[in-house]
Amino acid sequence: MTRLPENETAPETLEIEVLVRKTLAGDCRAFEQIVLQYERRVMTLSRRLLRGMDEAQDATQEVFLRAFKYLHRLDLRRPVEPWLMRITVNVCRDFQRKSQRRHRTFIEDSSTQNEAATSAPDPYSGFAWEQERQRLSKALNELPEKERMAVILRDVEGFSTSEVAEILGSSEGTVRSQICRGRLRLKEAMDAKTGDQS
Amino acid sequence: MNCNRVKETLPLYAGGDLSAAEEDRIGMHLRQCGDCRKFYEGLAKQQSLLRSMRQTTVTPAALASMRQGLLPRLEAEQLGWRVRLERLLMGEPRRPRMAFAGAAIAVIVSAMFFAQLWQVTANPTVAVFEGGDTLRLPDYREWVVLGTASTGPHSGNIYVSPSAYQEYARHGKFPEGTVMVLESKAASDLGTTLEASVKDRRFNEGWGYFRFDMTAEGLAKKTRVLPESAGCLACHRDRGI
Repeated sequence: MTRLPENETAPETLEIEVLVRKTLAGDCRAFEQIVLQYERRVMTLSRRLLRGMDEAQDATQEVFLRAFKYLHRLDLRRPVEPWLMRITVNVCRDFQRKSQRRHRTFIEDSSTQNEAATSAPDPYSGFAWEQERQRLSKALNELPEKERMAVILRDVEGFSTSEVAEILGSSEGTVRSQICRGRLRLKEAMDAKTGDQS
Repeated sequence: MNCNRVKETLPLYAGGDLSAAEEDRIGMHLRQCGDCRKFYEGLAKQQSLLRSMRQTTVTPAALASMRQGLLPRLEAEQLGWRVRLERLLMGEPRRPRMAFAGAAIAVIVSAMFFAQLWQVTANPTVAVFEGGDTLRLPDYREWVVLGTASTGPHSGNIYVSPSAYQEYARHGKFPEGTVMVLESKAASDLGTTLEASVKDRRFNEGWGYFRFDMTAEGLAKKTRVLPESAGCLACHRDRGI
């Protein structure tokens, strides 16, 4: 990978910077471009953290409204995505609190399964694999909240440990422990279901 | 290497969250220990399953529907005064620290302003009137002692506020609102009293005279200006003070 000189900025960062400045100058259309760039990422995470697609859509709207309102707080020297993900996590927590229920519905419900079926082909297709994935999803939903968040962001969403720490507002060491404990608990849950004690 | 310790670290090893040196150590142990290797294989499979969930579960139709609801809300969004103030302080979006510096300066300036205001209202150095000609008992104990009166009907220390004293020292003239207090004990028929003269152009020849009498609860907290018939003005005029 070619590294950019320190005083240069990546083209996509420049583009975001232009869009942010235009938005702050009152150009709403510029913010729509930001929405288009990040909506899928935001809604996917909302979908994973909340119960249903309707709630995920509402949460995504709320995320972008908050981002629009507090856009001036964005530090353009840093990536935009973790900042948006942090807002997403906070919004989803608020939604969960409001509904006063703990929605551990990482499990893909029937509607999600249909959506998945119509999207890109799954390289891990196969009945046994799908069953294992369902079981793992259930186990993931049963993890303690902090471990669940950390594992979703690190292992499912693919953020680095430092990014997860930034999103969750924790230290890297804390997040590493949460991820480690979460993965171990998942393994224990999976082993318990299969009767494998290794 | 202890198998229990290795198993505690294997979740991080399976996710690629260890340093190269740690990975080497664990890798070496796995090559020698079948039990740990089996444990690791379970974790590695679990990591693959978790990664497979990364596949998007959001359809373009769901995104379009979200956007349809979002865009009118964005256009109708009204920024509150706090956000507008924050943006004003922030100025440059790349430097969020500027906002904190700006906010800190605003807090310091406000604190100084309010401290000054508190000083003025809590310990006024000029005359404070109620209803035009009723003077409030001044808190004169820490004022400058101008001297001691020992002539005429008065005897006692004369106090003046520091700001009025400084003004007099600079320009030879007492400013409007100056209060001079005489703490008097000599007028036996009156008992202990506090007398004050206030420079105020509303009064005859620019000075008003007041007396705070001793009551059962202590000195009166406020008093009205003495009438000209009390003779204060005439006496002061005669003595040229």
